[in-house]
Amino acid sequence: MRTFGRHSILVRSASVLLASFFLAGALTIAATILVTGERQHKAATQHLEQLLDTVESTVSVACFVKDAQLADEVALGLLKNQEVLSVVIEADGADLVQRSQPGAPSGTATADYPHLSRDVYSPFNPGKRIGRIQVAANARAIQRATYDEVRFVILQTLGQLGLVALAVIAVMLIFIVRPIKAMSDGLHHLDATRGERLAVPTNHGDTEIGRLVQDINNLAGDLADTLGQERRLRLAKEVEERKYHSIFENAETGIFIAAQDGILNSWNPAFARLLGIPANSDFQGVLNIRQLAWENTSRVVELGLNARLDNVGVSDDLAIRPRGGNRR
Amino acid sequence: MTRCARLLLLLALLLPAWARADADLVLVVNAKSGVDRLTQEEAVNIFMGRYRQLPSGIPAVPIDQPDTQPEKALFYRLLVNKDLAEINAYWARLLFSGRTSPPHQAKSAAEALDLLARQRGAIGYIERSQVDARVKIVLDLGR
Repeated sequence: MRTFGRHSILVRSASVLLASFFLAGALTIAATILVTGERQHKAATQHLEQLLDTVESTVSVACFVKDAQLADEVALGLLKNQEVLSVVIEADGADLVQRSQPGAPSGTATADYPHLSRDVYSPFNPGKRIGRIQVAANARAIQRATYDEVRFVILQTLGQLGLVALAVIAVMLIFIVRPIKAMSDGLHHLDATRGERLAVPTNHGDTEIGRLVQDINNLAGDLADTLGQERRLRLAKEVEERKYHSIFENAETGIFIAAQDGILNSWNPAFARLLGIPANSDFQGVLNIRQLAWENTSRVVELGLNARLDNVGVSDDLAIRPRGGNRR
Repeated sequence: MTRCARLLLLLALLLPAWARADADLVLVVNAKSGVDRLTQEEAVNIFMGRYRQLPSGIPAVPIDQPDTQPEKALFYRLLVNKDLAEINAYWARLLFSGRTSPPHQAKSAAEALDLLARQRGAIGYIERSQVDARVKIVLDLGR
């Protein structure tokens, strides 16, 4: 199918289009990866802040009365969020509770993880610090969330670009490639001299394709006219040539054509009869005009020179004396 | 009902409220508790369950007035600047764990005074006019 060959407009355009889309997609995805990681980190931090806001008053109560069980319940509640890796609640400098996700490092082992720390103040004296709550973020969960979002963006971007590419290719196929192929097929079988013309593709009467078809048809019309004119001129020339040939062959006057050096190129039957030489059509050799049986050869040469110098026809009556014959 | 009677009734209704708003509360302990003065912070710690021990070392037994008594709301307003709803919410959180408990709530102001007089570690709030030899003022809460 030549339409979709390696050199077709569709394949070339689709290749450039897909390459552009892949480049745009790659740039988008790279930007997404860069931005998403930071955004997820900020979102996780913000979420942890909100969680701390939620439990702040309860933690304050737990720290105030040093209620380890209440603090433990708070920690367990916080750990239900996958973004929380561990929770440490201190009251008056001593750990009230330490909790972490199953399998995760606990206590100081999470010091390298991103974490939030907030001082806890007395519920009855906002200026008095009575403890501290520290929440370590679950970096793995944040990475997983980042990965999920990036994967979603990649799929979304590829899907969108793929759909756009398909749409563009379909549009090119319908509005450009198929009409051009139809024109090409029509041109292959078109005989402009018989008045055949390309049909304008459907729905392309006013488009560039339609204008191109009209231009091609106009060129074909001009070509047909030129060919007809050339044929008429050729026929007329043939008629004229036949007419002059008839005159040349049937004249009683000797007519010849000679080169500058006097070599005869052509002569009519009357010339052959007068000078006693073979008919032009039968003669195979080279014959110079000076070799003929002129009575005054120099006069012939003189006439030839005059004709050549003046570039005009010359005429004169010349006597000939055939070998063994009478003067004529 | 005449206009004058209505006015008298209104005055009768408003007078106790005015009198309560003007109540002069004091924090008192049993006269034999061995405590002479308490700071406001110590009072907060005892009444809000942080510590249940008097500075003299004996266990503290905080006593609340009944919810119906306006002195209770006034006391917590003066002590920690919170209303009763906030205090109840505070204790609701702590009741869950059971580590500490709210102050013992007397059935009446008279019972509160009686408990203060009978229990050595008792600590409570009453109007200054109710103070007698059985109890000792350790903190003047003011008005």
